[in-house]
Amino acid sequence: MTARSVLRNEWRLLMADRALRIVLGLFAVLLVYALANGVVWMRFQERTVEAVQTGNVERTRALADELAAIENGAEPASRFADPRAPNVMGGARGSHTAVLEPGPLTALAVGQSDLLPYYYDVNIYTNESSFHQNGEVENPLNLMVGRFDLTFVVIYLLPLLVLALSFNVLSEEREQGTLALTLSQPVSARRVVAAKLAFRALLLVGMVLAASLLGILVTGGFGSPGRVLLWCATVVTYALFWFVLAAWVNSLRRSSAWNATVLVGAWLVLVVVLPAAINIASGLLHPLPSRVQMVTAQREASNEAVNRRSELLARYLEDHPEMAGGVVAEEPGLGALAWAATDAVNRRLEEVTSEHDARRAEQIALVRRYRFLSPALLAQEVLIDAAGTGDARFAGFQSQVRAFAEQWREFFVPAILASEQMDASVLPDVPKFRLEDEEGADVARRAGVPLTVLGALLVLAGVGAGVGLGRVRGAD
Amino acid sequence: MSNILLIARRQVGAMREDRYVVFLLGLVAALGIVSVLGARHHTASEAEQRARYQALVDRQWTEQPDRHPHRVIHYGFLVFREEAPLAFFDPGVGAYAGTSLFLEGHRQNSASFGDARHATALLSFGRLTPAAVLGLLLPLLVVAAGFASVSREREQGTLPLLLAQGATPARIMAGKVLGIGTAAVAAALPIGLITVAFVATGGGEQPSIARMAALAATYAAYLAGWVLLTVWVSSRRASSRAALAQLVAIWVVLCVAAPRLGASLVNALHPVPSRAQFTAQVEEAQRQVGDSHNPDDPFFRALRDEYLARYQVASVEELPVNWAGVVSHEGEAVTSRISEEHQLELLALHRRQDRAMAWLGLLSPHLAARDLSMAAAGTGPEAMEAFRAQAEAHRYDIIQRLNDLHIHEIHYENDRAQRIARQEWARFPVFRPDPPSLRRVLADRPLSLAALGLWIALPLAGLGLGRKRLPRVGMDRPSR
Repeated sequence: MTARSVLRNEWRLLMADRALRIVLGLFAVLLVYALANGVVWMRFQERTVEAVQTGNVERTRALADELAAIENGAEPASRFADPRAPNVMGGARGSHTAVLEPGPLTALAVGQSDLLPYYYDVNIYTNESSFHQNGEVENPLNLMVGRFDLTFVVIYLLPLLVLALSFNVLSEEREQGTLALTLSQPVSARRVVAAKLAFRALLLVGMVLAASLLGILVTGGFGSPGRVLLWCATVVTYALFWFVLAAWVNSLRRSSAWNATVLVGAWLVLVVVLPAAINIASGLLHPLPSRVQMVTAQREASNEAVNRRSELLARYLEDHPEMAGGVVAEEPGLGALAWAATDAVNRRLEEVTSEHDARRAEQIALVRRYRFLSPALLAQEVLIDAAGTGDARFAGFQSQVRAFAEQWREFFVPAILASEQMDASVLPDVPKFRLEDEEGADVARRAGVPLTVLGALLVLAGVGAGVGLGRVRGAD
Repeated sequence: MSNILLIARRQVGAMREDRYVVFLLGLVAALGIVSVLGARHHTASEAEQRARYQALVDRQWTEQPDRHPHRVIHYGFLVFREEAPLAFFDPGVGAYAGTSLFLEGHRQNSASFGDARHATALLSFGRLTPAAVLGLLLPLLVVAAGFASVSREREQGTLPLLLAQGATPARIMAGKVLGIGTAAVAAALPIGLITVAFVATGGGEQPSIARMAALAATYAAYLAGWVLLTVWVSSRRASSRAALAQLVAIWVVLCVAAPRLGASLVNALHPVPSRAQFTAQVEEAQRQVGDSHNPDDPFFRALRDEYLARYQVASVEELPVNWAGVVSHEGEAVTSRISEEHQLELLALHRRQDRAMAWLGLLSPHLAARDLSMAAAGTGPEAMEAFRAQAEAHRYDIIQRLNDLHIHEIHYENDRAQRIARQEWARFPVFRPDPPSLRRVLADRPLSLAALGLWIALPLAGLGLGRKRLPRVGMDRPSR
């Protein structure tokens, strides 16, 4: 009996099973639905990004128009929003929104992109608290549940389908009494199981990859071939892990029912329980400092700063000679005093948030240490990172926005301190945010360890299965 | 009756011999206990911090020096959302809604600092809360304990024996339900007991007995439905394997896939705008009305003319009230109305989504149980909305009181140099949030209540209708 005849036989057998046909059909529908969901989300983000960028252009144009009118002798529309004032042009009125384009494969993996902000309004008042404002105005209930995307289908549902198709590849033959017959042919149990599983893997992985490639095609993700490759490799490795695990359990020569319960138990522990338990552990071992503390600290600082403005200004000028532009104001203007207070509050906030960030880094380190326990965690990490919707890309964006805010301040604050007025001629020089998106190499480097471990788990299960199957005899 | 108990005991014996069931039971109970301990620890420290900072903020408010009222408007104050006493059991949407509101003049700050934003990507795997253990894992234990309850009797050929000994099909089913129910209770009881123990010994605000009873009833009904369903499927399937496959498939669909499918469906049905879009709409609407900081604004010019006419004077300086305060008061009224209108529109959209989700609860009891559990624990969306609405009402009240002080106690001339005496600050009302009552949140959820009822009634009806077929199926099947 050749591998090909096993394959042909399997196809006939599988297609003869009505329940299985229904399940496979359902899986295909879910894949398409998950994909459609992801595409809709990506389009939504793209529209938002576009609207936000239009807003940038419009704000600049409104400033330019009013500045031109003032130059021609008109009065500013409101003396509180005089665009010539640097704290207005660089403040909320002239603010620039820094944007992160959706990750190239967002349609496949929504990841963190529905929780973490992908645009920030940057102006001279941008500080650490700006990074802690709530992002979207979405229904909290839906945020809590998460999205039904391809990643969810791959991580949660695909293993179950794999197990449903393969929990009895060998035990069924034994239970139906065909095992002895099969093994009386010149073929080993290893070959039989491998052929049967290869067929099933081809079927399921083929479906998932087809859906993935369709999604990538629709949303133009082929521009990042490295990410596509990483995505596909992870899907294949993760799916194969479950197939091989099923083969291993089958090689233990127990009943089909035993196989089924053990495999479902393995899924439960690896996909549901362990991640949730690590979640709890990270929160317990490294609790984040209360956000309440951060809010209160900000207010305390701003209250105090208002009363000590002159003193703060003197210190500020001492610390930032570059901002003063060589002019030390003997009689500081109100703008300069206000800025000194603002800056003092920002410093205080940075102190509080750095503590917060340190704890969060500890949490992440703990999660990173224990993610090796669960192939689901490893796969999810690589999948969303490959899609450009993982924590790392958003962290990179945020730190670039931080740097951009600094650049923004460097542009406007000297004028504030010197109580200067600005005009339309500076508008082209106002900083613009340019994202330096991560390189494919960065993603590949981050994926290296988790993907290797996932591969190692696969090999481990494979060795177990190989050894176990080597002991299977037809007379069992 | 006695043979119901006998059959129940028989089922319990079978489960005790099954190492897998025992292992799963231990696992679920242990996870439940760990989840209670973890969640309790977390919420207790959060609550303590929150109370400390709220006291600090309140003190800062009353200890303000003599101040100009408009300075106080910008000084603002903070309110922290207090977690419901049972939030440790079911945190609901708390982590995804803000925990604090900074209340100041001229604007409604949306509740900020949601916990979820600070979590890692791991959060998408869900949090192991007591509610998740009961709602997600316990059903699987029930399935594992009972998928073979009737089918194995059939496979082993013992079903006809039981019948021959005088047990009617109905009694066999009742006994099986009782037996599997024991396993569910054995796993749920430690979680319930430790929760009660914590509540009884813990300090702070105590949850009402009614809320705890509602939680217990929700999960009892939900799990009872699973027990009934398991026995029903087991009695209908020829083999234990088929029963297991079907039950696990049902669990995956109802508990794992349904929540996300539901969320994406309601999102597609009632799409929500992006924050950028939302704030742009609010700002646009406010711009159209007028700018209270701009004295030449048409809206405020009209207001001035109206005041001048009313008091029959020629200029704002001659008004018996402080014109700057009037502008501030009117500006606040207008901007608050606009942003509240938009906020309510957005929330109406969320509520429409939630209602659509409630309909889906009829298809997945997991959704219905989750909905009722959040309601009973006081961590549902309406609790967050009540906090926001009450905080906004409080903010508006305080800001307008300050504006009234500005109008009547501060003279227009040399406005900025004047102060209100510090004693005044202590006279301001203190924010006392009033969370929605249990009765109200339950009355708001007829669909979820009906869904749980249906969840029990359907398999019960199935068992009742199917009992006549039981012996024949049993004898048709040759035992292996």
